[in-house]
Amino acid sequence: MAGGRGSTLIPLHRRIALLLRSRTRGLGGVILLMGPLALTVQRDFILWVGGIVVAFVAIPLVLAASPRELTGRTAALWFQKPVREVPFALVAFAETLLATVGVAVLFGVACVLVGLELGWEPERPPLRLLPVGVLASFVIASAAFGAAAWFPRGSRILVLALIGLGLFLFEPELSDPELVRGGPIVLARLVLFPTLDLLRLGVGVAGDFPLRPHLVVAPVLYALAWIGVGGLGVWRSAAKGRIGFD
Amino acid sequence: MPVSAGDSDGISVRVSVRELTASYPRFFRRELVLHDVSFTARAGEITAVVGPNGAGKTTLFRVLTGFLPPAGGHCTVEGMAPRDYRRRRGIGWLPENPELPKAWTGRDLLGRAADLTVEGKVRRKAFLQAVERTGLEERTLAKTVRKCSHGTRRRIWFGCALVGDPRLLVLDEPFQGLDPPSRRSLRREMRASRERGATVLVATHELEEATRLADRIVMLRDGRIAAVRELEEGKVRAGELEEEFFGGDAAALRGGDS
Repeated sequence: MAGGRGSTLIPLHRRIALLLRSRTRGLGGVILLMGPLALTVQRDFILWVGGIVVAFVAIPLVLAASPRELTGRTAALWFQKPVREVPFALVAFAETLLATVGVAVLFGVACVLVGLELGWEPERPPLRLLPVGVLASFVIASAAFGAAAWFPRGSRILVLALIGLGLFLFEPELSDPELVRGGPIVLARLVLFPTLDLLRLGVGVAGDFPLRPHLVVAPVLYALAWIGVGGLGVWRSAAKGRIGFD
Repeated sequence: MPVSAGDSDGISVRVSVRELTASYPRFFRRELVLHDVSFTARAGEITAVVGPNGAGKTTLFRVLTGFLPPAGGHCTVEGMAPRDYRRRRGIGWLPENPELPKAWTGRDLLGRAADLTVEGKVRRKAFLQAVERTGLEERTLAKTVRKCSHGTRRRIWFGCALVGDPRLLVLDEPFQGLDPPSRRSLRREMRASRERGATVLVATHELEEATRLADRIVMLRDGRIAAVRELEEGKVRAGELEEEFFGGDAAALRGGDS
C-alpha cells in the first residue's frame, strides 16, 4: 500500500479527527451507552427499564459509527487506488474503533475528574463502569462492521435484532445469577450477542456478581469473530465485483 | 503522440478487450449485460464509448477498472488483468454517480488519494498537481464535501482520479451535471491527459460531446459493439454519426427520448 511509505499527507491523527467529525452521532451513542450500563446494575426495576430504553436509543447511534463507506459507493474512491481491499478495510475499521474507544475513554476520564471534583467516591459504579462501556462499544462496532460487510443495507437491523434477542433470551440468567441452563440456550449464547456477559460484567464491576475471566474473554472473542466475518465479507464483495455499487 | 511498444500500425495498444462478456447476479441466475465485446484503446488517444442508457457502458468500465470480474473473454490493461491491485496505480476512474465522504474537505480527499497512490518525495508534488487540475480555488477545497455542489464534488473526485498521472483514465458520464465552464475545464484536462500520453476512455450518451473530444468512438447497444469509428477531431458531426450508426432509430441513442 503506497500510504505505508514516507510521510503521509493525511497522517493518522488527521484521519482520526476526520473520523470523529464524520461520526458524531455514533460517538454520542457511545457516551449514551454508559448511562444504561450504569442504570442496569441498579436493583430498582424502573431504573432497569429506563436503562434498557436508553440502550435502545444509544445502540443504533453506536452502529452509525461503523465504517459503512467500505462497502458503499464511497469505497470506489479508495479502491481505485493500489490498495488491497481486506487490509484496507481492516485498517479503516481499526481507525474507527480507535476514534470510538478514544472518545469513550476521554468521556469517562472527564466524568471521573468532574465526579472527584464533586466529591464522589472513586468506587462509585458509574465511574467503574467505564471499561465495560468501552468493551460494549467495541463489541457493537465489531458486529456492525461484520454485518455491514455482508448486508450493507440491513446490517444495523441485524445487529439490533441480535442484541434484542440476547436480552430476551438471557433475561432469566440476569435476574438469577445462579441459574444455569443448558441445551440450545448455550448454543444461542455462542451465536447471539454477548449481552448477558456484558451485563453481568457491569453488575460484577458494581460488586453484585462474581467477576470471572470469561465475562471479558467471551465478548472479546465474539467481537474478533465478527471482525473476521467482516474481513471475509469485504473479500467476497471484492471477488464478486460488488464493492462500490451498493 | 507518445508511443511505446506498439501494434502493427505503430501505435501502442493500452487497453485490449477481446470477446468480453459480463454479467450480474439476479436472484438465482446471472443476467448477461455485455456480449462478446472486442475493441482496443491506444495510448495518447481519447476513446468515447457511446450508447443509450442501459447499453452496458458502466458495466464495461467496471470491468476495465477491475471492480467487476469478467464472465468470459479477455480484458487487459498494458498486458495485465485490471483486477490486479497493483494495476490500479495506473488507472484513474470517475464513476457515474460518485459519492464522497461528507465530513472530509476536498483537500483532505486529494491528500489521502496521493497517500494511497504515490510513494516517497513525489507525493506532495502529485498532490499539488491534482489540486491544480481540479481547477478549484483553495477556499472551495477547504470546504467539507457536505457544503460542495454536485459539480464541485465531481471535480474533486476527478482530481483524486488524476493523482499520480494515471496512464488510463476511465470517465463514466463525466459531463453529467456540470455547467459550461466546468465542462470546458474538464475537456481541457482530458486533452492535457491525452497529450501526456494517457489513454482516456469516456462513456457518454451525448454524441455531440463525443465528436468534440474523441479520436475514436465505440458504439455500444444492448451490450454489443454496434460500430467503431475513427474521428478527426471536430470534423465529424454528431448528426452524421447518429444517422450512420442508428439510421432512423436514432431515438435509441437518447434512451428512448425523441
